[in-house]
Amino acid sequence: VKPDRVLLVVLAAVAALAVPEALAAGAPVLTEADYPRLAGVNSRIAVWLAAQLHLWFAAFVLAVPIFVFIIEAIGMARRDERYDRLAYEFIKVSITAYSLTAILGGLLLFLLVLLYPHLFQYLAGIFRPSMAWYAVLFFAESALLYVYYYGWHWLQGEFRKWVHLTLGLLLNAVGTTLMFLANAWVTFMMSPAAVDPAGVFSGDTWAAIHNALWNPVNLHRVVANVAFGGSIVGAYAAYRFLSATSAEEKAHYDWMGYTANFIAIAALLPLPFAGYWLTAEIYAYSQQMGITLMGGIFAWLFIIQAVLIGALFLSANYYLWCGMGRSDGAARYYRFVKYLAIVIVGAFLVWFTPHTLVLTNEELKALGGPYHKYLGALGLMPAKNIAVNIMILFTTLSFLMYRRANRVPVVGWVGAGNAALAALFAAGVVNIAALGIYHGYFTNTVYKVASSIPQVLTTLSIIVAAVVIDSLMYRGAREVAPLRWGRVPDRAQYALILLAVAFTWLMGLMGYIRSSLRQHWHVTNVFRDASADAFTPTLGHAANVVSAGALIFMALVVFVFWVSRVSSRHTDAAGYWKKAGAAA
Amino acid sequence: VKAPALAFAVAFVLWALVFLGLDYGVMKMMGLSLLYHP
Repeated sequence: VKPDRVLLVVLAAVAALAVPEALAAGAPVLTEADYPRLAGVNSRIAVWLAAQLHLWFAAFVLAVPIFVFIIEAIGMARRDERYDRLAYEFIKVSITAYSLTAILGGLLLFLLVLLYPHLFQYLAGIFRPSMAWYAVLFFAESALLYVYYYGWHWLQGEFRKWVHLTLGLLLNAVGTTLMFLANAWVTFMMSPAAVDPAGVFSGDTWAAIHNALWNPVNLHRVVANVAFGGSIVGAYAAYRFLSATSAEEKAHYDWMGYTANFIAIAALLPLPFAGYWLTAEIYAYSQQMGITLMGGIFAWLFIIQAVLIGALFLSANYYLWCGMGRSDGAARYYRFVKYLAIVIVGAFLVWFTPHTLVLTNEELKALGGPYHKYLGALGLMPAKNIAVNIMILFTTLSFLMYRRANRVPVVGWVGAGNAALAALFAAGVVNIAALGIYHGYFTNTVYKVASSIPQVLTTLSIIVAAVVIDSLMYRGAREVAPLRWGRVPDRAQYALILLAVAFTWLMGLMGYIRSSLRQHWHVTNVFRDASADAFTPTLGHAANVVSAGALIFMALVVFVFWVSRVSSRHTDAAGYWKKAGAAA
Repeated sequence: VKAPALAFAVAFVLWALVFLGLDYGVMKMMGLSLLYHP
C-alpha cells in the first residue's frame, strides 16, 4: 500500500472523532480494496496479537491494585508491617508492566487505525464521548498509580496511611471504569445496541455502552483478572524463591507465593459461574451465536479449555498439598491427599470428555454412532456441571486441610463439628449430583439449564458454611508444630509457574472464541467484514497464534520480573567516582 | 451406634433438608417445580 494512502485513511479515521455526520449513513459497506495492507503483515494476526498482549498486561495491571488494596487494608487493620511490605512488592511488579500495557495499547490503536480504518471510524463515531473519557481516565490512572507507588514510604503513619489507602481505592475505581469503557466497545461489536439494522446510530451512547453482553463481560473480566493477576505474581514469587540464596529470602517469597496462589484460587472458584452467566446471556441475545459458541467448531476449543482448567485445579491443589509440609503437624492429613487427588482427577476426566469424537468410518460403525454408549452421557453439560462443582468443593477441602496442618482445635465440640462438616460436604455432593442427573437427563432443556443455579448455590453455600464452621472450631487453636515458611519443595514453585502459564493460555484461547463469535461481521449483523481474513481460521491456526502470543507474553513477563529484581540491586563501584573533595 | 456416626447421620439429614429447601426455593423463583411436570 502507498504511504499517502495510509496517511489518508489515518486522517479519515481521526476525523471521525470530530465528524458525527459520518454516522448518518450507517455502517459502511466495504470491499476487500477498502482495507489497507502493510507489506509482509497479516492484518488479522497483527491486530489479534497486539490486542491479546495488551489485554494480558491490562488484566494484570488492573488486578494487582485490587488485591494490593486488600492486603494493605489487612496490614492496617492488624498493624502488621509484613502485609504492607508484601503489598508494596506486589505493586512494584506491576509498575514495569504498566508501561508495557500502555505501549501495547498504543500499538493496538495504531494497527486498528492503519489496517481497519473504516471500522475504527465507525466505532469512534458511536463511542466518541467514552473514548474521550477513556483518555482522561488513563491520565488519572497513571497519576494515581505513580503517586500510590512512589508515595508508599512517604504516606506512612496514622493519617497518611489512610490517605494512601484512599489513593488505592481511587486507583481501583478509575482502573475498573477504564476497563468497563473498553468492554463496552468490544461487547458492542458482539451485541450491538442503539443502532438500526443498517447500523445507523440512534445517538443514545449509554444504550450502546449498556448492550446485552456488557455487564456479563464486565463481571467475568473483573473476576478473571484477579485470578490471572494472582497467578502472575505467584509466578514472580516462585521465580524469586527459586533464585533466593538466603533462608530469610526463601521464607519471604514462599509466603508471597502462598498468598498469590490463595488470591488466584479464591477468584478462580467463582469464575465458572461468571462464565455460565456470560454464556447464558450470549444464548439469550442470539441463539445462533450461542450454538456457534458451544455446539459448533468452537466446542472443540472448549475441550482444550477444560484441559487447561483441569490443569489449573490440579496445580493449585498440588501446591497446597506440597505446602502442608511447612509444618510437621501435616503428617496427620497426608493419608487423605490421595483420596482428594482421585476425586479431583476423576472430575477432571469427566470435565474434558467430549460429546462427539473424531472418528473414522470404521470406528463410527463399530461404535454404532457418534456417541459412546456410556461416555457419551459424560460429554453433556449436566455431567460437566457436576464435575466442576465437585472439583471446586474438593479444592476447598484441600484448603481446609492445609489450614489445619499445624494446629489442633481446643473447643469442646470438635467431634460434632467434624461430623457436621463431613455431612455438609456429603449432603452437598449428593444434592449437586441429584440435580444434575435428574434434571440434566430426565427432564427438558429449561429444567436442565435452570437446575445449574441451585447447583452453583449449593457449592457456594458449602464453601461459606465450611469456612465459618472451621474458623469457629479453630478459634484459639493450639499450634502442634510451627509453620516454617520456606520449607517447601522446589516442585511446588513449578506448580505456581504452571498456574500462570495455564491462565495465560486459557485467556488467549477463550478470548479468541469470544471475538470469533462475530464470524464474518465486524459488528454482528450490522457491519460486515469484507477483508481477506473474513473467515474462521482452522483451530490449529488459532491455537498456534494464541500459543505464540502466550510465549511472547511470558517472555515479556520474565523481562518485567528481571527489571523488578535489578531495580533493587546496588553495585559497589568504589574507585569509579571521584571523591567529593577531589572533584574540585 | 458410635456417637460420630450418629452425629454425621443427624447432620446429613439436616443439611439435606437445607439443600432441598434451597433447590425448591430457587426452582420456584424461576417459575419451575422441583419435580418435572411435562
